[in-house]
Amino acid sequence: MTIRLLFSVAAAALAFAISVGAEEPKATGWNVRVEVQMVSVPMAKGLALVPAMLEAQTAESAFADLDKMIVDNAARLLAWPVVWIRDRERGLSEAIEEVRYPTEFNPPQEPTLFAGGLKPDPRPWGPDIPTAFETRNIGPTLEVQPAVKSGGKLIELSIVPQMVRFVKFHEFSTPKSPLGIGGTMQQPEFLTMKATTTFTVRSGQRTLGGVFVVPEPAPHFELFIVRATAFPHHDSELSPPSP
Amino acid sequence: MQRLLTFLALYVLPVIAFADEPLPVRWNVTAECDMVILPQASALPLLAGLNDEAKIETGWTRLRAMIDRGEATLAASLLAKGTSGEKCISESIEEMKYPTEYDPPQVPDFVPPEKALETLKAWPVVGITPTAFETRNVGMTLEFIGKVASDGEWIDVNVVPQHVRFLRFDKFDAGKLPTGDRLSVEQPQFLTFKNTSTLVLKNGQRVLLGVHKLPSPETTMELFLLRVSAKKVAKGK
Repeated sequence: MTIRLLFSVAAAALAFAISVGAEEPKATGWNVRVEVQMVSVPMAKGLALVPAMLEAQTAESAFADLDKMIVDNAARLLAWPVVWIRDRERGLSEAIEEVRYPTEFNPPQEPTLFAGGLKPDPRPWGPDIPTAFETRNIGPTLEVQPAVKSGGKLIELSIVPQMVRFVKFHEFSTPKSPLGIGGTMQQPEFLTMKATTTFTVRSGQRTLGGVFVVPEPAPHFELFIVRATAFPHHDSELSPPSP
Repeated sequence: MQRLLTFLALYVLPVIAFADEPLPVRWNVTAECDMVILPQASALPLLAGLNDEAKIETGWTRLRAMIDRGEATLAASLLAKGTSGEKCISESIEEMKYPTEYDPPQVPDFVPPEKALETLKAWPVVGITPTAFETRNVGMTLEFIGKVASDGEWIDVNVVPQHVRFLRFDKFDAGKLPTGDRLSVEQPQFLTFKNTSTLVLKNGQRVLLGVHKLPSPETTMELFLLRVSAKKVAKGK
């Protein structure tokens, strides 16, 4: 009983000493939030903004200008995927529309009984029946794997931001039969903007991660603006210190 | 004497040594995931606060007030509760079936010799018949594993919130009739918002885990907010 009491007093004294004298405990692990603003900007504005975003001295004010343009509807926010992920692990954000389209077709049917001299016509009798479909994911996705460096000041990002769009269907026709029935096959066309890259950023700072010129409907810029922020946690049991 | 010492070493000393050893602490972990839909103009001013650990609870209070006033819509409030380290899933789904295989329109088995072409032209086109179906789960799911540190202060979170919507059926043309009518098959289009995350959170902490834009109406956003908490179940002797 006496020994336990002594231990309790010693532990309380130690805890008090630590709380009074010690600074914020050193981070033992990191969470990283990675976000990518995908923004559509008119060509004229983009031509001025992109060089400014690439220069360290003007980048922050250019990003602030873009924020204002989004609020004023002068630029269009296409997507803003966010991923929370532990240091050195892989995370994913998806906002995808699954577009199903036919990929295989049955040959058109022809009547098999031609009594009385009506000969089979080499041209198709009827429609092309889809027999197999595929699914294509369209929309924004963000894959990231961060590595926190320099005590949380820098983050090395392995990052794949991607925006896929459905553009239109192309129609392929088979010739009409004597009955006037024509076969039709529709195939989709997709547009993909994707950056697969690894670079190092300062925690909390925005950087231009992708620039694309999209020709339709009118030529315009689409920009991928990346920001990664490191947040420390202090539990060595769940996440051992980073090497 | 040797037997006595062996007996002491094997049976008595371990009992004394471990007499006060407490049983392992057991934790239950709860994950709450709120999916909130709101106009982009209302969401943008909130995001900075929701991304700040010190301000997120204030931001969440504002968001809840907006839900109360009808300015935002709570699409889902999923709760998954499980033992520390075990996987738990909460689902609110509608099973939607749709056709994947088709039979072509039927042609006549027999054509009279004298009026073959006329018969074929007059034969009604009865359309394309679905012959096989698949099922897709539409709705919200939350997959979650929370591993609690022994002091209960931190939780290692492995989480996958997902919201799947049915958008519409799209028609794919298979043929055109002389009348101009089109023969077509229909296929469903789905929209999925999903985040796959692993992170370490404080017990009781809330984070803005996902930010998504709806394709229609275009100026609408959906936010995924996650809160995890752990509660000690038992600590015995």
